Amino acid sequence: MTTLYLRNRWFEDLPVGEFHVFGSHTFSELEMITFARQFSPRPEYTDAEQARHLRFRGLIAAPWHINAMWMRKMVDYMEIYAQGVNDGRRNGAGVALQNLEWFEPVRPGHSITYTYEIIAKSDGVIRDRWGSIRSRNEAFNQYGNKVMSFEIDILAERSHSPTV
Amino acid sequence: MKSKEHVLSRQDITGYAKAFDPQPYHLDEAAAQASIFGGLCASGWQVAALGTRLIGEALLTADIAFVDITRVDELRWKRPSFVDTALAARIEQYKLTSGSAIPCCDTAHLSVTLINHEDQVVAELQCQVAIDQRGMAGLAQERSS
Repeated sequence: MTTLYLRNRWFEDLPVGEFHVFGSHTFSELEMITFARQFSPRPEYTDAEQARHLRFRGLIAAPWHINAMWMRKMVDYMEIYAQGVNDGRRNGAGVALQNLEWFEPVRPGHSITYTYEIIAKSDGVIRDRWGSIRSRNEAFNQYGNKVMSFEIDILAERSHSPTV
Repeated sequence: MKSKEHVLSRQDITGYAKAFDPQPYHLDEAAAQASIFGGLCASGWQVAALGTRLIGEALLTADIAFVDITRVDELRWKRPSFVDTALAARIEQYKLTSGSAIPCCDTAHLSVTLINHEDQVVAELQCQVAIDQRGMAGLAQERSS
């Protein structure tokens, strides 16, 4: 029996409702500052000492850092579960995201767990090859509080191009 | 309102990809040529993060006390950002409402187009950002106290 992993199947074989836990990541102060120096170069994100006196009462992760790590955890998950698959089942492009929200700060030492659920599939055929999968993605801290969520449409290759 | 440009170098793109999005089309030129994108290009998340930085800087330059992004209603990636793309943010609409999830802030609802140096649309986003109610003086005061 073939084991059903996230990205070793064609578009047609991915069911709505399927749920995955990509894994967890513990954010360090150093990586938070490194990311923020490039993308949120403000003391709330780059200077632990000064941040203690600022509005978040301590250093926090830049919002997009939380999403960057979501992507990394998804890629790592595919690395484990879709080994040897190097076609459009595995490497589809993101098209659009919706309703991205950050609910509470991520601080140094916080461990964030990322989940993924397929919530819809589009009937459309894109460039003769691709279908679009909509997923709901959530991130929780070690206390079980939701820190971030969004929906995203990612292309997955269809098993065969429809006859035109 | 238009931001300044930021050029995405090959090193910027592969450096980000190694850390956060290690997929072949963001790391390897040959693999990228054969991919859906047709060339080595930046992670869509890198474009979003850089675009947000540019939005923040444009607002601050206009004396609008940008604190951070709080919500993205929708973001659509329209075209890849290849090596040496000069990315800029164009703020098309700006509407302020009172209150924000971040204390002492109001919410600016923005409609933004991210464009490259050929004026092509790279991404479109509808987002909300927190603006300090005390203005630029409030930002300066908090950071100096």
